[in-house]
Amino acid sequence: MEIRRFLKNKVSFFGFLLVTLIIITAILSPLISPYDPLEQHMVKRFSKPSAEFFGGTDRYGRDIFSRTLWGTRISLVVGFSATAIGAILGTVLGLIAGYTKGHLSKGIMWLTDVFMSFPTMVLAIIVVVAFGPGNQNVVLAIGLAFTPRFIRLARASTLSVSEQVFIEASRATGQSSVGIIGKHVLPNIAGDIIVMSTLWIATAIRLEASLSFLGLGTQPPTPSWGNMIREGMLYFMRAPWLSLVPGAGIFFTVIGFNMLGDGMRDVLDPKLRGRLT
Amino acid sequence: MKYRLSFSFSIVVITLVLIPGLVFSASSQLAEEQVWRWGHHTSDLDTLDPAFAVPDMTYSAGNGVLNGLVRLKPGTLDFDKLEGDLAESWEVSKDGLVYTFHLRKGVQWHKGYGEFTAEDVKYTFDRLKNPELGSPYAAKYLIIDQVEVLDKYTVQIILKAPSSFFIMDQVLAYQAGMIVCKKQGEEIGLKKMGVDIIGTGPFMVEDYKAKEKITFVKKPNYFRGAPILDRLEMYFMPNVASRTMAFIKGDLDAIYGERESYWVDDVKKTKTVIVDAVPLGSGAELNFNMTKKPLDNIKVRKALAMTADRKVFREFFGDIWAEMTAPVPPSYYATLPKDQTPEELLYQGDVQTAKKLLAEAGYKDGFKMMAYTTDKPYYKAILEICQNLWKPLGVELEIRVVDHTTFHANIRKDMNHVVVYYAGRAPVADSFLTQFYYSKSAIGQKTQVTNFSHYGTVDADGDGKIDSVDDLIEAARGELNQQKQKEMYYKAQLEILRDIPAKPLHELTKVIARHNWFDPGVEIKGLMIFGYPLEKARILKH
Amino acid sequence: MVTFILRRLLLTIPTILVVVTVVFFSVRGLGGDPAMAILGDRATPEALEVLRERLGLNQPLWKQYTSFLWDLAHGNLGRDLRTDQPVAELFKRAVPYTIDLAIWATVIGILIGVPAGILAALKWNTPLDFFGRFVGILGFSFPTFYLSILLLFIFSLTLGWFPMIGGGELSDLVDRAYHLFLPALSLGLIKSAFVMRLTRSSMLNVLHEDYVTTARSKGLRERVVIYKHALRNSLIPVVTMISLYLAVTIGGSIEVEIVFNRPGLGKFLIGAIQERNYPIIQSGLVVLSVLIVIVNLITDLSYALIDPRIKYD
Repeated sequence: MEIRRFLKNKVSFFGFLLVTLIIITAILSPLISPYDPLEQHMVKRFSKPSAEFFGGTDRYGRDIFSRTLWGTRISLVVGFSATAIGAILGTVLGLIAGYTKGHLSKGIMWLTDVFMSFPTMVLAIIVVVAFGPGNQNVVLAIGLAFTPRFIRLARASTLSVSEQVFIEASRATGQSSVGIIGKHVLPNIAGDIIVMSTLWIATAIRLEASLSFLGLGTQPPTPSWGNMIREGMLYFMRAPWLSLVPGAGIFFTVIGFNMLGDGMRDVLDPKLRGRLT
Repeated sequence: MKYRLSFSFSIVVITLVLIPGLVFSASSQLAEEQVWRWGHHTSDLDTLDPAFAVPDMTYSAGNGVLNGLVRLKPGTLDFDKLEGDLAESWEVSKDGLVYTFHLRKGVQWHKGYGEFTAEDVKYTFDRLKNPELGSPYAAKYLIIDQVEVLDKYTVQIILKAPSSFFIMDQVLAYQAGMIVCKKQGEEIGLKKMGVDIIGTGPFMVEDYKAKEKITFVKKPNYFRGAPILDRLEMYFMPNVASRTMAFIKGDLDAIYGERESYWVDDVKKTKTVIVDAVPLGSGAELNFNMTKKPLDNIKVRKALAMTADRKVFREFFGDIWAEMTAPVPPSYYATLPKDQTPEELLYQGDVQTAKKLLAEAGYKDGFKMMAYTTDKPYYKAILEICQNLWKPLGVELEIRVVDHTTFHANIRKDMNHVVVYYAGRAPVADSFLTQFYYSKSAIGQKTQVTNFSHYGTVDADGDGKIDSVDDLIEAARGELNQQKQKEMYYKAQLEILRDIPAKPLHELTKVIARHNWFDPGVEIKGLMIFGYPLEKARILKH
Repeated sequence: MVTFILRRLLLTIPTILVVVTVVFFSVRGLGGDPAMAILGDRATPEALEVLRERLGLNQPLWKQYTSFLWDLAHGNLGRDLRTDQPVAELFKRAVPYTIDLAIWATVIGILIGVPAGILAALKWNTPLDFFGRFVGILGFSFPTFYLSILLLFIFSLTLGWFPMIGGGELSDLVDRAYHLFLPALSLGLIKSAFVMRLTRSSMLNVLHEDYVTTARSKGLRERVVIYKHALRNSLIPVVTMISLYLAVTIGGSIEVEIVFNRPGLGKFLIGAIQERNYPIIQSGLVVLSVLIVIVNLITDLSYALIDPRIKYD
């Protein structure tokens, strides 16, 4: 039922299509890339986009198009896993903070406030500098930086759901807290979390780029859209394609996830259901 | 004691790059506003204290403020024609131990700090040597036994041992050789001075804004005559893209350039831009950490060295590149000439030979290595290119890009298998050999400097004996006969090449750029600092 | 009202204390060595040792921690390890630029995001909705530094409309605004995407609430329904989110400050992390958290303006 409704919605359908395409690209990148993304063609450095090199080449003569395709993997992995860390940690803590009353709840929210006052970027930088560079640490850094924001959201949603009559009723019938959370609260707040996640996946991809800008992102020679753009900036006036092609990668991914998120939101939101069916 | 430096490299570069700079005539009119704006590549300037002038920003910015005793003619690297700066003349005793300097009279310190005298010279060198100060240059000045003030305008420096390079390396108006004001030093106490330093130079520090800019105003009673520029504004702009844009737009008169042939080509597309790609360059070497397996094996090092192909780097760096085949950069004194280097010590080989060597060493299928690097493009590029060149050998090089502080800390904790290091030092063989191949400079020693390969402390060629050129380095430094000295240096370099603790790759020029309306007042043939001579510089109408 | 503000401010003291503690210990776990950052790459181990001693870096951690707290309690933010300048002096100049940037980025974000969000919600699932959302996403699709460089390239280099260096003189408001426009636009465009989405979704929620339906059924004109009932209520989460995203905005200001060569707190922080300049990192984050606490307080107070049902006592 819901899937059909979801696919009927033009926005979500297009978003779904785009995201699927991106995921397929990520999976198939070894097969569809015309070149090895790491192979250096020194004599063909800074080639303009052409039939030989669709996206031109970079300063080592590496094929930008192939690198961008491969970069899809890194960016998606970073985007998904960082957001997953933030969403899972944040939802669990947020549920606890929202559903229970007392010191635990207060303590969680207090710590959340503490971490909310660190700029995301600064928090991420501190984690990367402390643990060293590398993709795992970038994921960890971004995930941790996201967590307080998910706690906030999960708590707020939980609070509003908890006040509803059917939860009160379940409580009265003597169901366990875990049962109520699992059966009633979680499904009701899942929409909010998923919608927010899609937006933060895009943010995570951008943050990875920003960390790369500061020299702390994905390590060479592995291509990520972030470090490709960063390198491209050096030659912005000579070879704009160096940053434009991976920039396009980010652009379509962000649009895709946004549309998907919006579509899911519309479908999952109980209040809109009436209008959709 | 004078030396001819081989600057064939510089001459080529000058001819290529400088000719357009000479086009404009002296009759060009001065602009009304004589303010010079410079974009620098660092995000800040922490000090102008010459005792701590290690980062290029520090000694480059301080150049208009301070003077030394002796200097190169502005815009040249002509060590044959050193001229007096704060000293009018100097002489050396026969045994090479006593240097007497006759100082200029009537030179005034900035901002009412009185007249410059011999006391200031004594203070400067005593301060440098003092371990309490913690100057990174202290070790270099320990060669001074004592400094004696003979009278107000005469000072004598007595060395513990003769050194052919004392004037060039320790006295020259460059880095720690700048003379500071005793009165100011005593006011502050024995610690690092800030940016508000008192000097004798043509410009005085006016204002400093952290992470933004530092400004200078002219000193009208500068001893060589008042400068034409009224003010200098130096902006801290670490981002290359926006620094370059601000320069091309004309908001900046000159900038610190990027060491990339393509960057040079790009900015030259703007008609008014002149790029000065000149010596003194920085020599790049690929240091193999011989305390780490399998780099302790000379066959492995040979295989890696011969596949790290210099031709690829020439392709990459273009006009700013010069081949470096000896452990001492080509534009330095007493570098081993290429034509006196046996073919096999040039380490130019193919993958097949290298593979055979690896197989003999027991690494038929290759091995893994790791290297930290900073984000500077010309550092990272070497490793990324080597990573690619070594792949056919089965050698996997993991690169970890970290911030500058971490990089310098990590390579000094022996974390890298290979260390890429660029260095610009006093242009004599002694400086490079001492810092990179002398046993006491090895990482892990109490006196460690930048000997990342640990040469001189380990058995490099596998014959059971420690290989070292310490004796040669020490003997050559004290040798006053130039011919004999050169021979010793050649011998040391051949020895090092045979043991191949590091592969010399190339020397890159300095790269700075300006608009043609900024006239430095002298021809730019070579620079010790990343910046222009300013005492005669002017802004033309544009 | 006054007691509410006072109580809130008092409550922030332990929060800031935790921030300080976390920061103090985590920056010391960063590895690297401030002495090395100061003396540079040619320092000998002996020289480093002398400097560490003088900077007090050899003292036991708890001693450094308590003396830092003691100083902080007395309003002393410490001294820059590299230049020995008082950190308070540095921040006095940098913080106004960061506040400028954060405020105007937010204003631009609201000016673009709220109307776009409302429009998208009202014209839900129509081409106008898609168009509004597309425009909203545009600014959001570029990494901050990339968008900044694009803007700099188009408006400063090619068109020559805006300056490229610095943040203008603090005392000269016109100059300051002139230097502020492009940086604020880069951050504002990104922020507008957040605001647009939020406004749209919040508006959609509210449009289907009972009281809106009731208002409609009472025969109130659509415009009245939207402005009097729907908009007010839908703005509450938007206001909350805007204050929550402040930390994100300030994070983004690091890149903007670097690209536009502006002074500011973000630049100090990233520089200090790279140099392991402990006093600046510590005090910088304290200043930031105080700023953010103040903004959150203002946000809470502003609910009263939007929603008369909320009262403070």
